[in-house]
Amino acid sequence: MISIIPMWKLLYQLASPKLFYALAGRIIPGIAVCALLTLIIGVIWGLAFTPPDYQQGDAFRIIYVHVPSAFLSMALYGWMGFLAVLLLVWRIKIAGLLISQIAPIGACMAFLALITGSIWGKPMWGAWWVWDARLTSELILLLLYAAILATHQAIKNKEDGDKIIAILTLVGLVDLPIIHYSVYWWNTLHQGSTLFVFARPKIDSSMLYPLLLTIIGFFLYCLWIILEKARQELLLREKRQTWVKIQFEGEAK
Amino acid sequence: MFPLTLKPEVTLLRTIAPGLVWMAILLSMLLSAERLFQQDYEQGVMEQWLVSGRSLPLLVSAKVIAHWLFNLLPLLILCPLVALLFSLSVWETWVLALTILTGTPALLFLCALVAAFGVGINQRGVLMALILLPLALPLLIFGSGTLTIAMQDLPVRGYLALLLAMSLIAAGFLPYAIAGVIRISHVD
Repeated sequence: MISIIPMWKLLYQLASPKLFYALAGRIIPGIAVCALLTLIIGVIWGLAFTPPDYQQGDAFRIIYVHVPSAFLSMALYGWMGFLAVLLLVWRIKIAGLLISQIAPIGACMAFLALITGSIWGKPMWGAWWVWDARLTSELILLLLYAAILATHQAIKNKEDGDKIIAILTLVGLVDLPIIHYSVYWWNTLHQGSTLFVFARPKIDSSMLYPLLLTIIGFFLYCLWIILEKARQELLLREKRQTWVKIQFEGEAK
Repeated sequence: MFPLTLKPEVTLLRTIAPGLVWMAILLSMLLSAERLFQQDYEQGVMEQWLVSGRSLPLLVSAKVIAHWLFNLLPLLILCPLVALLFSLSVWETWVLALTILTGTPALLFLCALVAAFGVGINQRGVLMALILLPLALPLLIFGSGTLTIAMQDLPVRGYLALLLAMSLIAAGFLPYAIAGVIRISHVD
């Protein structure tokens, strides 16, 4: 219980736009440096120093883009679901603002995962696209992101738009596991696919560490971009509030 | 129309019939759902719902269930015709009717949610299709899957139960989401 109470306090404090703006501004440089460091080290390690795969040769190195983006596309959606609950139950407006800023990044990540997967699939499976369970559910995830973005664009009042896409996010969150498993059953029902690669040999540690580094790097990069965009959007939305005026007139002096 | 654009072979038609029928159902529902809340919105009935003091989710589900009953009848009447065109047996026709009976409530509640999103927005056709298609995918898979395994003489009860379960979940939770959307877009 003791550890829960300060967390709630922190959440409520973060709900204040002024504090969020200041705190985000303070941690952004640190996140940015860490993101760039982990990304650069991870990518160079993965591309140059990791031994080639015994079956796939050098082609497997696309894993260092593919897996982090696929992971992030799902993690960001989960995060949006959490924020949607915060917005709808506790009416924390910052959460809504963050949802609307996360959605485009999530869509980019899902798109990147599909593209890199398709580039990887061509030499390994011999096809750009297979109607496999995992591919299909990732495509559906991309479509969900697209639906959220389109809805947000279509609604003029930004705060109403935030709430409406929060509801849509929650409906999608309930639906995602159903989609995932239904696609799985549907595919195994029709044909035993010969193209499953998910049961590949356990990854070697020399390949695992750069992968972990790139995942962390992608995660920090997304966090950085989201916070930066959220700060901009916050200023735009709150431009008539006194704290914004004080902040900028103070800087001008 | 589909048999005219494809090769009219019985085996081919029988393999693709489940998918075709369910896609047709989805598209027809989408078309009719576009107008589902529009009239209520324009004539101010929605404001009356909001100020009536009754539970909004209840009103929404009553509306959707009434709509479902009206949509169900033509679909069920058309079932034997579809069976005739795609040369389905009597048992398969029964299964088709049962999947329609158990699957369409969830589909219609999803359509209603999408229609609530689209109220008051111009050019909403594309938007609604974009939201509906990913959400309706499990229903399409299980709806057409039931008919497919009925054609292979396998037991369909589990699939029908799953469809019914999805419909119950949708009918239980989606009215709250729909009511939430309506409330938000009517606050101003």
